[in-house]
Amino acid sequence: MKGNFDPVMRTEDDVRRYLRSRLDVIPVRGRTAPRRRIALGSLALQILAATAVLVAATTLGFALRPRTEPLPSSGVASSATAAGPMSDIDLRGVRLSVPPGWVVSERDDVLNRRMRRIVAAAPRQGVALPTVGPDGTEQPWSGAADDLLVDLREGTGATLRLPLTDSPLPLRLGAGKRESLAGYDRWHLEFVLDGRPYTLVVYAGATAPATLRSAAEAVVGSIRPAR
Amino acid sequence: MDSLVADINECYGRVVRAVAGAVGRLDAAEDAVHEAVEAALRAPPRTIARADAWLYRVALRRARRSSWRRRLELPLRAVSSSTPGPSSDRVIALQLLDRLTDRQRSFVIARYYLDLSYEEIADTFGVSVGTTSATLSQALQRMRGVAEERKEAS
Repeated sequence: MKGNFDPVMRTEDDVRRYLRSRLDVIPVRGRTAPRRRIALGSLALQILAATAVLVAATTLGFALRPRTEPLPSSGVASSATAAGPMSDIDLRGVRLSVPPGWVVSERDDVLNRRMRRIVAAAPRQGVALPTVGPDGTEQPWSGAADDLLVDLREGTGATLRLPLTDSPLPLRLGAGKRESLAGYDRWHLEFVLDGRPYTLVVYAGATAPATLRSAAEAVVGSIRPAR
Repeated sequence: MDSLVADINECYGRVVRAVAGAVGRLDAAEDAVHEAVEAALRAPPRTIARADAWLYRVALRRARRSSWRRRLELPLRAVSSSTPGPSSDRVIALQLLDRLTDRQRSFVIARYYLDLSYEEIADTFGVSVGTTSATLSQALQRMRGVAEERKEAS
């Protein structure tokens, strides 16, 4: 913006033009939750609460995996049959189709100040959901080697880079950035739907069958705005 | 309540940009306006003449408060974290407003970006119309001075 400096500032309309030329171009996301701040007081309370939960869970004999949350069975749209057509599911303004037997969960997880998980889809219940650390960095996915997870998030890591127009549909998983990490592959795709930025992350364990990976591609390809 | 939500949705983007211009940071502006919206929806103000003016004032106050908090937390973060997290800060450069005081910058943006009248600015910020007029006049004078300096320098 420094190169666009306009020295003409004679009238009030010049001021209006100057401000609009600088401010109207700022891309603003839709309304989402504010960043979660961790003040020292609330941090202490959170540590106390977490300790209490841990003690209670240990007492009850639960095996807790740190920083991992399984895909729950409640609030879930799931098809019961093992064979049959894909099921259409509308969640949070997004429509997607999943193969029979898949579990789709509506989520509201603030991952960091720019991203919120809204939908998680997996071939079975109990697949681990990835989390982010307090500094906003993503933690390694702790799913099983044959697990797979489609993780749809509202917002992106770099809103300013995104085009203002909607992304062409159908989405292609292959168009996303692929990374081979410790024990799993991760695809990362940013796109715009109805003017809103989204991030799609697909995790596939190292031994996830090819049929599951193909199913994940079909799920990604089915994403479109909800009617 | 429905009309308040509609008004907020209508002016949301404009107010975020206005606050970003006033405080110089898009992330701080987004957070502050989000918080202001939440506050408005949780306990709707009795009378709001203009939703954008109300949001702007509340969000500005929150953004400046969090700016101070950020400064206080900086030394603590430096010692508590050896690897800084990813930064998504967006700095908004409005060079002509650089040398204005906080109040002047807020009023200039309220007047010339949000198109509030002198009376509305006075009402929103709890000052007299005369103070508004004088503040804006001084701000414009200073902006013209900066523009002239830059023109000569270029």
